[in-house]
Amino acid sequence: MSTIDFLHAGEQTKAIHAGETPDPVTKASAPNLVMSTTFLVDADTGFSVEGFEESDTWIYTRWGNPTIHQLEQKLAALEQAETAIAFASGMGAITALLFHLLKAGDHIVISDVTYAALTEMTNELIPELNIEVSKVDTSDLEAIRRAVKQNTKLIYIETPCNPLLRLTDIAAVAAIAHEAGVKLAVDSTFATPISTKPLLLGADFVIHSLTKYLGGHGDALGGAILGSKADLTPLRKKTAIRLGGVISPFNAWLIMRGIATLPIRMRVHEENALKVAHYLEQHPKVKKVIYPGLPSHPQYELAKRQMKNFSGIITFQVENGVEQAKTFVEKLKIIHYAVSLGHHRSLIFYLNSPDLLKSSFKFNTSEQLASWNNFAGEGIFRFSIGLEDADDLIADLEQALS
Amino acid sequence: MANTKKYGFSTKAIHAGEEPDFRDGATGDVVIPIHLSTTFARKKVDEPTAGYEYTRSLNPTRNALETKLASLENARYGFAFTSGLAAESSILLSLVKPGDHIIAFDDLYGGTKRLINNVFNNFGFEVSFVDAVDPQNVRNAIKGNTKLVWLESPTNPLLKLSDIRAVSEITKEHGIVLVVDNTFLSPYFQKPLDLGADVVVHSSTKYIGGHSDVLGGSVMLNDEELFEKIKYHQNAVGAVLPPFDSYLTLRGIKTLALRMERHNENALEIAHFLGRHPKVKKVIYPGLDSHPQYELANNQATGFGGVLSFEIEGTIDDAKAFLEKLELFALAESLGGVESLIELPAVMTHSSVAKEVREQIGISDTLIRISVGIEDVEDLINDLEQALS
Repeated sequence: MSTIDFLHAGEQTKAIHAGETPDPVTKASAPNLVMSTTFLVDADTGFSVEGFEESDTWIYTRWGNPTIHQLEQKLAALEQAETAIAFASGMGAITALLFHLLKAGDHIVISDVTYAALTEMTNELIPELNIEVSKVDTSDLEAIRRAVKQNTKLIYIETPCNPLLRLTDIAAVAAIAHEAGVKLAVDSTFATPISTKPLLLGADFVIHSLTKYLGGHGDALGGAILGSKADLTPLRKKTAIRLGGVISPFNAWLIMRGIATLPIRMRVHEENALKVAHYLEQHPKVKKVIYPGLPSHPQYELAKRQMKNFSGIITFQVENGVEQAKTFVEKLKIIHYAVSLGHHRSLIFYLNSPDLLKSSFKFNTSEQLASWNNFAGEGIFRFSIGLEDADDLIADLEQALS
Repeated sequence: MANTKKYGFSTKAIHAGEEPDFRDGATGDVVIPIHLSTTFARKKVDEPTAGYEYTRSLNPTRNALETKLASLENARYGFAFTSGLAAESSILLSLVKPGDHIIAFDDLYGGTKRLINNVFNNFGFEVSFVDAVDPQNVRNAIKGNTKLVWLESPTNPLLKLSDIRAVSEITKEHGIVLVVDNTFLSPYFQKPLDLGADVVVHSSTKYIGGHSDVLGGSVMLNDEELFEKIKYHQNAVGAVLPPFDSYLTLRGIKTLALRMERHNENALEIAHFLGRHPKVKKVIYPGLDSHPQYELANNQATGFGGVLSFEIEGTIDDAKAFLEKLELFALAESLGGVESLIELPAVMTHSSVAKEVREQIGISDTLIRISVGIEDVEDLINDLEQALS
């Protein structure tokens, strides 16, 4: 069997084959799961992170492991990245990136609305390390431009951002970043590589929580950073290996198994989301629906340009969301009331604006608050639409909304 | 098992954290299931059902392991991380701030040294490495901003000891947190918290897991305030041990007592065999009365573990030839597994240390480290014998 040209292969072929070559000894077609923590070496194999290269033989699983490596190759093929590093969780990946790029006295420009755990980390832990943090609405390019300073090392965006589904123009931000000699990292968890390939739009790093769409089955935490070898080889030697937030080979194996169906899953996530969004838009109890695939999305033009797939998350607002949340918990039969997203199973969760603005999101300007209100109002249901039959999801919502 | 203190080590290793589940609808399984779910559905909007919300924050299988880990060290709290270094990162992030000073044993595991020197130094942490064999060296290094003392006992690969009780008296006097890496002895042989330490850390990849098939790191402690800080960072940084890996670790712990007894027995016999062998210049093992801290070893631990080092006659090439002749001992990094592993620090674990520095601290070209497994000891000795001849 000769090798596949993944640069020109389709998404579904890459999702199935990239990283997975038949086992050289047994010829097993599906990948083995290698749990071994240590590997036999020759008597003169060095064991130092400084001398460690990606192509070296396996030594110790925290440095690299055949199963984890297969996942990393598959991720890289999907994002058209030179290389990838997998981590124990999305937050593990983000921590490794921030600790690698930033030191005391440096400055980061980051979206004022990101996944809440990252927002909280940049409210507390990062400033405590004497790193300066500027939070801006990254859909506002001028705001980013104004925030960049002499000591800025990184611009960090999420698109679509969690939970607002507000978009950021990756190519435009990349131009600002590179003009200033600053790196750009994009959390593309909500979009997935099936929708958007941030590296091709000029980003330096892509971040994924593999727990979400990539794994897709709600059974394994994981995270990843993708980018160039020049950027990631030093990162691997420094914070990936040294901070120790390594992914378990078992989780890597589960996630790799999930990725095999990523392209077809994303197609159905999008199809279902559109149907559910249209249903909700016409429902008398629903005040507003936000979904990048709807012409009513404030950035629909950008969505069409930047996203080949609008993914499976919508938000919607109703009168008295707090009460409706209680009704949903009682009445929903198929849709689970739970955090997380991107699973085969539909998940819904109410995010109350006053609570979030108190605990996590702090705005410096009235424009930032206005943007939040425009997208979230008093509160939103974040609805991660699964792969169930769309008619069943709509029927479930119908009986729980009435 | 509400009060685990009244039970012996093996009983705790088997039962703690894994009470049969008799709640409504539960199956009564006596072994904790592998809860792979990353998220947990709610019955009420305002509170997570049974406390579980998202696996990074809390997972039933990891929680069972964390309960078991705590009980083994006679601790109130336990944590499970993806690796020993992830455990260490979370301790450092939680307990030290920029401008603070750390005192660490100069013979620490290289990965820990690099974590402190090459990652945390970017944020203005200060560190002094001292020879902690003498507790007075720790006392002399204390400054106004010292927040943490970090020990390993025994150390890797020279098996130096530090008097945990004596150092803890010094740290207590100054209100400094004492962290002890207990990887080499496991809680079966040594309980640093009972000796006065504040925090214990393990690479559970080693003896605790014991089968070389799962990475992991553990932290055990009693202080509620330290617990809350580490809990916060465990969740924020996200290097949590997955459910499957937690299960493998739990499964390993059930035979920890049996394994440690056998590791110890085998290591002692091999140490004696090597001590008598004409081609062996020197054997370092805390269980030999020739170890300079033999008395301390007996005083603060109930066993000596399964790692020993020895030096053979000849050159680095003789050492390599010896290693390559071995049939049972696998030439590999890591330690603490059921299988015997062997390595040559000068070219493997400590190759990044300059030769002069290496020799000065006692790592000569022919110093060899063995992690003695639990095979039949006659077979191990025969293998060493044939490779030495």
